[in-house]
Amino acid sequence: MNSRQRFLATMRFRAPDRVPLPCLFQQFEAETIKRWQREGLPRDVHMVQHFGFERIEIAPVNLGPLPGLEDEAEAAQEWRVGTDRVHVEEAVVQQAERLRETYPLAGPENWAAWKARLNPASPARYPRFWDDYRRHRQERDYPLGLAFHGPFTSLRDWLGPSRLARAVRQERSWVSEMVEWLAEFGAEAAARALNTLPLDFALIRERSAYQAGLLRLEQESAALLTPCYRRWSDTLEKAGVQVRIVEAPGNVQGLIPMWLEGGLNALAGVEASAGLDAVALRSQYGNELALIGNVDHLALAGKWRDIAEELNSKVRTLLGLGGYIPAPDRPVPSSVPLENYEYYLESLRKL
Amino acid sequence: MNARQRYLETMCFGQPDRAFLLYPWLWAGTLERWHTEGLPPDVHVDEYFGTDRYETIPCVSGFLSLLPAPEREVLRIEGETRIVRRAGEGQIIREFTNRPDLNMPQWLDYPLKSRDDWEQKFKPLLNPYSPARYPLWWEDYVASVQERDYPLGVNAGSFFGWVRNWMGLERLSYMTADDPMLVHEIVDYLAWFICETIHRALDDVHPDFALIWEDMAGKGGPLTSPRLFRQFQMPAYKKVTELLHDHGVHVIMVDSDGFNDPLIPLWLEAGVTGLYPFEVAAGEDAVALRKKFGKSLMMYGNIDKRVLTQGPEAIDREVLSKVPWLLLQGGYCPWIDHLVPPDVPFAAFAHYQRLVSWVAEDPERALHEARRKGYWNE
Repeated sequence: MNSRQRFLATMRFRAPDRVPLPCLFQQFEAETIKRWQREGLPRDVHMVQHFGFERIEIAPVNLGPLPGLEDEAEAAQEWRVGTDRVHVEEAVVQQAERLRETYPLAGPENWAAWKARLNPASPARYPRFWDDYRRHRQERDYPLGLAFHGPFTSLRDWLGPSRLARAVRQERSWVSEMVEWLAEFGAEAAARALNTLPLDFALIRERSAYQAGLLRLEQESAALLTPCYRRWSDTLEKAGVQVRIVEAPGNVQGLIPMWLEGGLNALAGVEASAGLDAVALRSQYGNELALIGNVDHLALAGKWRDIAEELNSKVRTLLGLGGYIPAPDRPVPSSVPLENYEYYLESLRKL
Repeated sequence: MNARQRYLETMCFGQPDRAFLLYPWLWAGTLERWHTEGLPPDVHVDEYFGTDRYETIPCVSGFLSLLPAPEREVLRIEGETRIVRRAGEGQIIREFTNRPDLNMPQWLDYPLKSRDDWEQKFKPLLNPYSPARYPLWWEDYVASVQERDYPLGVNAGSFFGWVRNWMGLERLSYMTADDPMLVHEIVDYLAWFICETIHRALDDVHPDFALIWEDMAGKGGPLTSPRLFRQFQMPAYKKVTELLHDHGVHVIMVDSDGFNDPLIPLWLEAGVTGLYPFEVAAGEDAVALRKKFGKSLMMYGNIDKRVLTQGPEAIDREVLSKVPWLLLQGGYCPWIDHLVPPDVPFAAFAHYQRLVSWVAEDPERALHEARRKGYWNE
């Protein structure tokens, strides 16, 4: 089996030839890499190659606002590289305040202007030489997908959590209008890729549920959000994309019915440390929902017997049931020694 | 004719269907300005201006080649400025906190000071066999470019510019007198490093051109003398260009700003075939160089960036006074002589690009127009 066949077999609840480890779901914090380099990880290697992960890629199609908000993101990175914490943190606090005060979408009055950034026909959404890109990926041996910004995450990024909460409670028709627009926009913007390239999966990123307040808000918005998921799922289904993953950290148990209703069929993240239990989810949802993740990242920082317990009690069961790709439930933190991670991978491959 | 054929015909003094058009080099601030003046924010700029596809192989052998590269580190903040260890090469600079990209930094210190620094800090970062020098899934990349229709180049290092960046010009200059053996060792090592690094790309991909980065001249002339260049850099150049020519790469371009004329004969002797960007402000004159060197010198550039702020007539004069004739001689790609700065209005650049595209299509007609307007008198 090549990486593509292995990924698709797994996500369709068929038996892969071995434990699949697609690189997209194996993530690390930057500080972790630095620690591991101090512990012997070569500094001039590709992590994917070094750890023997498998190729999986997201097509370089921009399905977000264009132009985006790169300036803010770039400034915020300052904190990560700064060593003079006092001064740099001051700068970051100012930046964060500015960000909080300047969400790009203040209200219905500037929705029309914001919508201009959601033009599905913008040329720069696709690589300039898209035909060349797609031609060389027709007969690939690895899975290739598209990434969408989920409707809730999009609204939160545009309005900010407080304004979004007010809109959900007091301006539902406007929220509904935005979600409808986003649904059509996503489907139209993705059409060129879906029509010209056989894709294997879609990844819808919803990254908010780790905050209790946002989780509640997302649940309140479910009725508004579901049509967007459904529109995208129908479009993807029609194009033959059978694996539709929502990537969502946190305890998102209460949101799963909404995503299933919206046509999604896999959940990535499945955060054990937030209380999600993949074995219980498998038992509850059966083959309706493939799962990626759920290896407790905190267990990786513990003793080797903790790691073995995590693998033997949970991962082994899930692999046996199918529809499961093992991965840490959060980016591996810097509390994990390199030898623990190597032990984890070695043990995982033996399952 | 596809872009690859067009490029090779243009550079090798052949018969292109039109001249090859390189994408414009822009400061970030220039693009920001143009977005407020009518350039759509959601387009590919090169596509918008109709330039040709031109790429380099993604192996780490070019401008910044230390691997792993030193990370950026803010050391302290001083008033409106901050002291920073630069990403990529590790120099210590002072830069403005606000929009440092629009201002030159002050260079405070350099990381390569001694033989120990070279042996212990630098050589380990110049391992040609580091796995990350080449992209993941290299074989797949190779397959994707075998039947390409655009020119693909290989970055082939630097034999003065890198060392100058690591040491600073002053220390490097003294070092050539105080410890010439160390300078020889470093430059010879770089030649070996580049040959070992790019061998795989040359074997697998068969690139169409090579780029060597130097930036080794100021307005007053080169930062090293022809005698020292011959002594220190020439052997390294010969080693690398011989490898390139042996692999069928016969377009070997050096990127060096400033006034480089005293070094051009030495570069050509060393196997280099061309240069860019021939800064007019530094006194470079592509027409004179073509007359002097004939078909032995390939060129990009020499269109004065400063005229882009002086209105359409000045732009017409600058372009028509050199580009049609140069295109008719061959071996030349019209190009602004460095990054387009933020004081250039979008409308001015759009006018320039339209004109250059028109000249590229029919240089004979453009030369006639140049004569008619009195911009070309021969």
